[in-house]
Amino acid sequence: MANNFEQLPQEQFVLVNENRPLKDKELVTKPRGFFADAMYRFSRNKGSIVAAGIIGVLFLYAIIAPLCTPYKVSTTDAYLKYCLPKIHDNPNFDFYDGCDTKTTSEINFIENYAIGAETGVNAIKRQAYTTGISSIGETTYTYRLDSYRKTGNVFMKGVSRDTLESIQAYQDEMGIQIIYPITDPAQRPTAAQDLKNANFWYKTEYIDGRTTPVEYTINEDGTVTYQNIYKEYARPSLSSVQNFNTTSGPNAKLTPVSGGFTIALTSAVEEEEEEEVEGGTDTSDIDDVLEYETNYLSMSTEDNLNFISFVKSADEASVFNYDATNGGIYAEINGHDDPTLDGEYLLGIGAERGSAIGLIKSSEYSASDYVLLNAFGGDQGKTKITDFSAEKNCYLASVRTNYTTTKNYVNLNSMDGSIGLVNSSSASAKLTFTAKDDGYTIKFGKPAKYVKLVANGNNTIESSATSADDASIWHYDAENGSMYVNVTGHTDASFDGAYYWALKLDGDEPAAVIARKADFTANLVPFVVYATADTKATDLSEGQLYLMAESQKDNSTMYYANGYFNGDNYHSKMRVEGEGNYKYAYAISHGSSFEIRVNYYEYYRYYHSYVLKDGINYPMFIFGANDSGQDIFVCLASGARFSFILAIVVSVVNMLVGAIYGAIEGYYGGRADLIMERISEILSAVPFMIVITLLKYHMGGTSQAIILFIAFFLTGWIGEASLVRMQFYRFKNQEYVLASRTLGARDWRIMFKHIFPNALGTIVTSSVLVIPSMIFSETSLSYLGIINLNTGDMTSVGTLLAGGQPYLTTYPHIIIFPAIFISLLMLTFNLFGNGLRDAFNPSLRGTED
Amino acid sequence: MYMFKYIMKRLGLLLMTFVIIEIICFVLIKALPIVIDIQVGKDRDIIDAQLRARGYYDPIPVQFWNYIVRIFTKGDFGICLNLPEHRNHPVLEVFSSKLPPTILINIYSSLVSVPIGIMLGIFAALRKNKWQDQVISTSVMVFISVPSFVYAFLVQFIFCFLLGWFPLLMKSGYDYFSWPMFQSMIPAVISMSFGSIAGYTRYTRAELTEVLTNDYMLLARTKGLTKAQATTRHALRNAMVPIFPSIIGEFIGVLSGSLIIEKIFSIPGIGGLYLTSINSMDYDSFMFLSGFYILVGLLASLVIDISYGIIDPRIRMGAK
Repeated sequence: MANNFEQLPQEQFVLVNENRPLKDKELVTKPRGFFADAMYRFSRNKGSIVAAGIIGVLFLYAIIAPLCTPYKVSTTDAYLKYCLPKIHDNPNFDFYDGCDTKTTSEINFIENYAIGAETGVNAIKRQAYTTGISSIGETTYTYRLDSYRKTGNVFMKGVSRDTLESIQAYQDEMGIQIIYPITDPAQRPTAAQDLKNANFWYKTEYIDGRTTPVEYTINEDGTVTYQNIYKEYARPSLSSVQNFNTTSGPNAKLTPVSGGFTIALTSAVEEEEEEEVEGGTDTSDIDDVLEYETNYLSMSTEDNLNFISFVKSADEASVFNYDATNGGIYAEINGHDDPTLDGEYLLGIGAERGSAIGLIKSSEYSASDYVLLNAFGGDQGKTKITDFSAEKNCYLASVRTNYTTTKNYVNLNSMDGSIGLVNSSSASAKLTFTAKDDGYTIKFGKPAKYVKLVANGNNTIESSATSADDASIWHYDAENGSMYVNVTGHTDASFDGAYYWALKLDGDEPAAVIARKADFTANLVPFVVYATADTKATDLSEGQLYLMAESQKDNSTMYYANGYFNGDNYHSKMRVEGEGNYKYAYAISHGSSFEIRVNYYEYYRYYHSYVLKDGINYPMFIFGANDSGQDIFVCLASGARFSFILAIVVSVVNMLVGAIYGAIEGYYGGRADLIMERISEILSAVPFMIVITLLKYHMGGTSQAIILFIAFFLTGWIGEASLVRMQFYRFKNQEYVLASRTLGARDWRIMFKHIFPNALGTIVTSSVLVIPSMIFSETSLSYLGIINLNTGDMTSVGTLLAGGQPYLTTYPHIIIFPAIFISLLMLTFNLFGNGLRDAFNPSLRGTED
Repeated sequence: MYMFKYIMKRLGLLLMTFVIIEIICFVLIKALPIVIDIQVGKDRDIIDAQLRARGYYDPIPVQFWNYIVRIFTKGDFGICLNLPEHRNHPVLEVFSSKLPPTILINIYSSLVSVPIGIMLGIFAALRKNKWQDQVISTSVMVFISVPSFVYAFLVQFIFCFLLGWFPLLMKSGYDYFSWPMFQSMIPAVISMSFGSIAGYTRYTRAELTEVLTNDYMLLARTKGLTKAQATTRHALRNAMVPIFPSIIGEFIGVLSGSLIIEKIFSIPGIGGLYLTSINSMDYDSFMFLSGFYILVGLLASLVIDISYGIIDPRIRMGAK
């Protein structure tokens, strides 16, 4: 060629295509990117779209459900176990209402019907039922049993006074009755399984090993009438009842003239006066001078005043003075403070809340008279004195001291008659009992620290207390008669007089039963000492002493004669009225707490809406409740939420680590690849179960959730790594890689800018597909109990499944919802993952589905 | 000769991997404090002395050496310290007493699932994209996705409880071949089979559909074979190349069993033993069972690879 371009003058040099576009034709459509392309393909796969939608719903459920329901995983309820799924409370609509159609025998039906018949909270829906004939010819009853209300009534013990007041306030405010009358303990079922069942408010008998309702009638209109066994408070001899309200100030006097009626006093007196009171007779070592601020109320009865009932004056100290000159008194006093002793016959009553001593004066007690003392003392630091002295045939039913200070003092002095039961639950009270004639029986429940018994006739003193801990001094003096003393579990005794014994249980000193006798005659009833197994007889001087080893349990006795049994302290308008006023008892007092009988469904509403105010107005579990009364709906959501979070986080971390690891392996190849491949091969050969177990053993103290994270991470990235490695092997020798290397691109840039995007589709697909398998592993591990995620407000689907399995045949709903959830999740995730894979790698379509 | 070399190489690699994992496991387990569940009436000192005599307080390398020596000289894999029912029994003895139920149930399950799975797969492949195929493929998707314990619950609820055909749990005792025992195993076998039937169906269908589209199938038809003949003689044989090794792998896997199924039906098998050993922190049995599971897993993959090579000489996994 003769062209001499090099010497071409610059002005002749013209670029041919300088202003013409190089392309033939403008691109009409915009090029679609890799992801947009995948999205397009994915959107044409209907199954995957549906699956993705369902996953979205499940995911939203897991995130939102715990926020929508007032229940928490930690909300448990022992009485709402196994509740069936329920979404409405419409009495006329029988679907998904938490009820279960049951066909039972008549006994079961009567029991279930009784719950609604008493409280109106129907355990049988609408109280509607149909009858049929069973194969053995008995009448069967078919009805819908409400799993939320079938708990019926329960006894609640340890209810504080404040709670009692609060429930009553709620009752009056809402017009809903929660507290129902206490049933008569004497008529309650005797079958061991029914002792604590509060639903037997009607007459039952023990037949063939089970409690069977009796004396009920099934009426023609289908209702059932029961005979209630409520504890009646009123005495049979009552003729009328008068309510007195002593608002007139201090020193109010009541003088009823005619006999045979009841006076109920409500003390609303606010004014106070100070009084000093001298204690009992034996006051040498007791600081018994008391100062109280008291109201003073004096009562005298001319005739047979049968029944005096008091009165809640817990806050104000009151002094009551009863004078029953001509008649019997049945007095029950509660909540008073300090007495002055006045008159011939005195009865002192101390009562609860550091307040009261009442006095009853009686000159002519007949044998049938019944004087009941209930001396309660609750508060520390306040001295109570109960001084009781009944000269003629007075029967002392119960003395109970519950004092906690050393100043307590009980002095019983029965001249003529018998003394029933003395029960002192305090180890520090001092009790002296003197029995003067024949035929006295003194029974001790719990002993006081110092007890002195003086018997002048042939008396029986029986004590069955077990105060092995505190040193007690027992002092028996049988000067002129015999004594039958039966003492259990005491520690120390000193004695005085002609006949005595000592019992010592503790320590090195001769654990001894000593009986010394000056003139012990054979025909006298000897002492019988029941001691514990540790007691030894060392210093027995005479033969007439029997030593028996016996361990005896504390038989706590129930005391009913307390104000809480009648209407005065149960002041709520919501009540079951008996035939007279204050007919039924509503609470049993146990010292400072009470036992009541409540309808649990209404109590639950009260407790959650009025006390806790946690947004729960009544129990309704959309998926039912499990064996610890947890709401499955929220438990499942919480478990699912954890599963989702775990799976997504682990999947992302694995993707990152796997991508880097695989990229290095694949890109560099050679020795690096060999070594790294061996490492991942070894790791992948270790079964996951072993990894998690070893981690659990070594990190026992750490949260199990963290252990799961680590375990999933440890072996999870290997799959991703090998995928990426494969892609790198495929692409690393392609021309465009070579080209960019020629241009001087660094390894890192080539790896992640040029090769890695090729692997992206595979990685995304496998990361999604790994999520269901991870959720499945997590579920299996918690199902097997290897991992326990049950802490506080967290649980897992596997735990729910494991918890439901024992109830597969009885309460299948516990397991159904978690099982459906996990199956649906697995299925949709697999569909979704397959759809994603087809979208990203159209060439793989159909190979594995 | 080449095959032999290949197998030897794979075996060597397997052994290396196995030994490394065992060492790691052993060290990690021995690094844990020894947990002894002292029974009432047992003296801690005596147990301590016993453990000391067995070398539990030696340095870990010494322990490992002793462990290996004991295994090869006496077949002694240690004793169960804390397993409630097998206290102080040799691990191997306990293990072998638990092996039969696991193996039996897995073999039954394989015997049920392999033929059914392959049949369904073939049927679906031959009816590709017809409604039969759609039904089978959809159910396969469902059965593969739904976790096995869900079937187990369903089987237990429907067959054992509602219909009462089988007992709820596996019968106890050692009469593994008696009829009542077999009957009590059936629910577990059914539950285990669902997933693996679905797996085989899917696999077979995928392989067979691919093979059926090959040109040699067209050739077979053109040379006059009926569709059935062509399918059985050519397509099936070729499709079986990847399926057969996985069946062999499955039969190696019968040893390991399923923890979940064994728990649900309370089968006295290896899985249950493994769970108890984990929960009661019985390290000797945990160590042994871990080794067992690792070995079974490695062997299964090895056998699959080798059988690939034997069945189809064109394939040499890992060959250069």
